[in-house]
Amino acid sequence: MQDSEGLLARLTRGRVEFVVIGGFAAIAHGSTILTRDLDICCSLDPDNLMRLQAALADVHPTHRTTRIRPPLHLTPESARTWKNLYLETSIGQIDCLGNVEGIGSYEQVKARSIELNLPAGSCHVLDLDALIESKEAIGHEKDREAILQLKAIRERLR
Amino acid sequence: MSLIEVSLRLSPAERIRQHTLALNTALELRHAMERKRAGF
Repeated sequence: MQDSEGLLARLTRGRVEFVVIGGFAAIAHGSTILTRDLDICCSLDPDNLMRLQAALADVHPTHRTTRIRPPLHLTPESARTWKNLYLETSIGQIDCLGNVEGIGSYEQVKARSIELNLPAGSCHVLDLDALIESKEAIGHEKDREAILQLKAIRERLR
Repeated sequence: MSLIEVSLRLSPAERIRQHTLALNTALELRHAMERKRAGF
């Protein structure tokens, strides 16, 4: 079972600095697509990555892209070396990226985000224009429908 | 009314909640189909 709300709640409660990007940001803006993993852009500051590790500890994160799937085990030193983390947890997948194609670093992404109040607390979500720009910059075929929907939503909200 | 119109009437938190329910239903359906195709 995928419990992306549970992942978001843990990150928010754990005071992780992050912005929701990708499919979940599209859903928050009103898209009707289905997406399986939660994508976030987060500060790569070692303290922030240590907070992320602590926030997800009870759902046993492992590195998803390696065959043996080792558990996430960051130290303040090793946390400096990571640029992206692709994780599987007991409640679903989460991808933690240091920057977003077409937008830039975490600081640039955060500058183009909006704050949403969710049951677990407030969190930042990439704004609609930046989300469209990032999906167009990535250019994945699977994002074509999402881009069409997001542009329709932008027109509807004008 | 289009699905997007319906979605825009919800709050972002409600949209995420609805998505979670829809995704988990879709995953249950997929697993049921896989079991059926495997002969169980």
